[in-house]
Amino acid sequence: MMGGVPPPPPPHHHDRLGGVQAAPAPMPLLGRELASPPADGISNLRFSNYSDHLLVSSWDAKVRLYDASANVLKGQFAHRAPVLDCCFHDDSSGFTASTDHTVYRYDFNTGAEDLLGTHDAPVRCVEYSHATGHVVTGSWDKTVRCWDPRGGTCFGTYQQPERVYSMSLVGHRLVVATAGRHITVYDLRHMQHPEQMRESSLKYQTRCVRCYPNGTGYALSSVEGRVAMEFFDMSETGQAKKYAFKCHRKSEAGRDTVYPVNAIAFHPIYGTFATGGCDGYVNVWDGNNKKRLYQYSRYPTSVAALSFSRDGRLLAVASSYTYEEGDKPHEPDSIFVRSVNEAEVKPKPKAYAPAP
Amino acid sequence: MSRQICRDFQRGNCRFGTRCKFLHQTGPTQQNAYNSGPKQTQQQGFGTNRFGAFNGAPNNQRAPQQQTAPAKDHKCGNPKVCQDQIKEDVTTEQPTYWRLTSYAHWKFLPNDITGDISPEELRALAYSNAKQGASTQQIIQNEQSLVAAKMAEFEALQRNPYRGPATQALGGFQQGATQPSPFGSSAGAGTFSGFGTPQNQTAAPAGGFGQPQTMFGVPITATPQTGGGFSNAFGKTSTNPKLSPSPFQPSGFGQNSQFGQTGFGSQAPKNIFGSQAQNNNIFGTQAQPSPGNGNSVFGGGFGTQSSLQPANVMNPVGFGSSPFTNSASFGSSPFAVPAATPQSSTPAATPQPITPAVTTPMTPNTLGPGSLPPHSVQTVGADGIWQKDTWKLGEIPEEEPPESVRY
Repeated sequence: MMGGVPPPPPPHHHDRLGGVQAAPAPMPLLGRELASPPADGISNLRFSNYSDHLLVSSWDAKVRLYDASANVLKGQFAHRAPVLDCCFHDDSSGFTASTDHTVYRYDFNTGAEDLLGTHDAPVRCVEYSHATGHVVTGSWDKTVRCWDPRGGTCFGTYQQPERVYSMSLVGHRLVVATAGRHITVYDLRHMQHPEQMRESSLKYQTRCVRCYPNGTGYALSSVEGRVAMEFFDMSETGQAKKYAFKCHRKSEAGRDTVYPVNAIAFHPIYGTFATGGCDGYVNVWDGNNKKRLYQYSRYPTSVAALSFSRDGRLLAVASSYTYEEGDKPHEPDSIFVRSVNEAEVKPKPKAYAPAP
Repeated sequence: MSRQICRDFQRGNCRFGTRCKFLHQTGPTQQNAYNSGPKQTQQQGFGTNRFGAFNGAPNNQRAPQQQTAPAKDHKCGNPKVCQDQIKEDVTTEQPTYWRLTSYAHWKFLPNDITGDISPEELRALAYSNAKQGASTQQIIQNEQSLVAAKMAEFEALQRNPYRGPATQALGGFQQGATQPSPFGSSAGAGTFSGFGTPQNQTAAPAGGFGQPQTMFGVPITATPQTGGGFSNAFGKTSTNPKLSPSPFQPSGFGQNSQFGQTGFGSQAPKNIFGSQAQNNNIFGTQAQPSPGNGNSVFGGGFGTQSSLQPANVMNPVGFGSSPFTNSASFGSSPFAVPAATPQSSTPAATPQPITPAVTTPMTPNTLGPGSLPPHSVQTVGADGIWQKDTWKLGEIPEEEPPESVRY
C-alpha cells in the first residue's frame, strides 16, 4: 500500500510584503513547501519557460510570482476578483484570467497592469501562443477570444458550444474543452473554422485538457477518474492509438471511490505526464507504453494544479481543496515544489517477456 | 442493479445456457476500452503498472474476455442495452463526490444528461452569494439542492434511457445543447419555450455570477447523514414513483413542460416546506420517499425553480461570516449521499416526444428488473402519441385511445 499519512506541514509565515523565508520544510516526501502560499484556493500554477519562476493564481484574488528554487515570493498582484488562470508571457510578465470577466497583462518588474479586454462572464483559461504571439482566453460566456498582448485589440471571438472549462495549446493547435463534454480543436492560424469538433470520449464532465509536447494529440481528464489519450490525426491509423484509462480511484469494500482528475502536466523532455486528483495523489504515467511510472505520497488535500519546470527537474504541486464537495472546511492551501528524480518520470520501454 | 453479465456467454460458451444465473446478453460489456468490470484499483504501489485496459495477461485476472472479444461499439438500437449501460455507469462509474456533471452513456455520444457545473463555477457562485449576504448554511443548502436535482436526473435516466438512435454530435453547437447551467437567470425563463429549440442560451450562466442567485429558490435542508448511505441508493430505482419531467431536459418537451409547470409550479413552495420531513429520509437513510408528498417536494422544487428563475431572485443567498466555519449540516459530505428522488424525465433531444409522464396524482410505477419502463399516466394533451404512424418500444400506450382520436 502507499506510504502513510504525511506529517503536517511546517508552520509558515504569511507576510504580505513578500520575500519571507519559511521554516525549513522537514518533509522530502511531498517536496518543499513554498513560503507565503495563497490565502485561498489555488486555481492554477505555471512554471516559466525561462527560469524557475512560478506564477500562481488564486481565489484570494491575487496572482503570486515565486522563485521556486530559492523558495521566495517575489511579488504579488492584487486583482479585484478571484483569478482563475495565469500564464507567462516572457519571464518578466504574464497574463491573468479573472472571475470579474477581465484579462490582464502584468509586468512583474514595473508592477504595471494593462487590461487586455473583457469577456461577458468569468474568464476561465488564458494561454499565450508563442507561435502566433496572441493571447487566447476561454470563458464561461462560451467564447474563446484572441487578444493582442500589447493591449487593446481583440482579434476574434469564437463561439463555443458551451462554457469553456479548459484549454491547451501546442504549436499551432489549440484544444478547447467545454461543459457538456464538447471538444473543439483549432488551428490558430485559421480560427474561423474549427479543425475538429466532437464529444469527449469520456462519459462525464471534462476537467482538464493538455496537449502532448510533441504536438500529436492531447490528454483529457474527467470527473470520473479517467484520462483519455487522443490524437489529432483523424486517419484510421491515427485514431487507432486512442485509449483511455482509469486512475485516481480508491477501491474499498468492493466499490470504487471515484475522484475527479483535476490536473495534467507533461514532462517537457520525456513526454511522460503527471496527473493530480481530488484523492490527493499525483501519478506519473508513460502514455506510450501505457504504464504508470510513479505515485507520489499523498498530499494533504486535492491536487488542484501541476506544473513541470522547463527542464523537467521540478514539479510544482498545488495542494488545494477544489470544491468538489461544495462548501466545507478544508486543509490550508499550499504549494509543494519537488525535485524530480529521473526514475519517476523517465519512460521504461516494454520488457520483451515471453508470453504466458 | 441487474444481474452480472455472464462471462462465459460473452466468450461464446456458457454451459448453463438458459439456466445460467448470470445475465446472458451481448450488450456492450465495456470491458475493453475501459476495463470497468469488477473494480480495479490503480493505487497498488510503485511497482505495479496498472493502466486500465492494458494490463498484460498475467496481471489481468479480472476481465479475460477483453482479450478475446474486440471492443464492441455501442449503438443505441436496443433500449435495454442502453439501460444496462447506464445502470452500470451510475453504480460503478459515477464520481463519488462531484455529482454536478453531464453524462453520456457511451464515448463520443451526445449527452444524456446535460447541465454541467464545474467545481469552479460552484465556488464562484458561493463566493458571490456570500458577498450578497447569504449564510454558510444557505450556501450549502443551495449546493445540496443542486446535487439533489442532478441525482434525480440520473435516477430518471436509468428508468427511461431510450431516446432514439443517437447520432454523434456534428457541430456541437445546436446538438444537445445543453440547457444552460442552473446558474443562468434566464434559464428558467427559457425553460419551456426556449427548450423547444436547442439553442445556446447565451449569457444565462454568465450573468448569473454577479447577481444574487438561487438555484432553486427553495433550499432543501438535508440532515447530516453518513456517507455510507450512497451505495444503497442506486440499488433501488424500482419503486420510485414518477414525477414530471425535470425542466433540465432540453427540447422535445413542449407539452410536458407545460404540464409540469402548471402541475408543480403553483404547488411548489408549500409542498417543499410542508414536507421537509421527507427530505431527511431522502438524503440519508434508505427509506423510500413516500409517494404523494415526497414526490411533490421535488417536483415542486422543480416547478419552483423553473417558475421562479425568470424572477431571478427568491432567497438571495450570500455570504455571511466565514464560509469555512464548520457547519453542522455539512457534517459528512452530502455530495456523497444520494437523494433518492423519484423523477421520470426522459433525456435530451429526442426526435419524437417520448411519452410524457405527468401531473399531480402520481401513480407509483414499479419497474420489474430488466423491463422497459411502463407508461405513466398520459395526460389529455398528449394526443401526439396517437397520431404517430409507428410506435417504438417503450412508447406503446397501454390505455385505450381517447375519444378524440378514435374513428
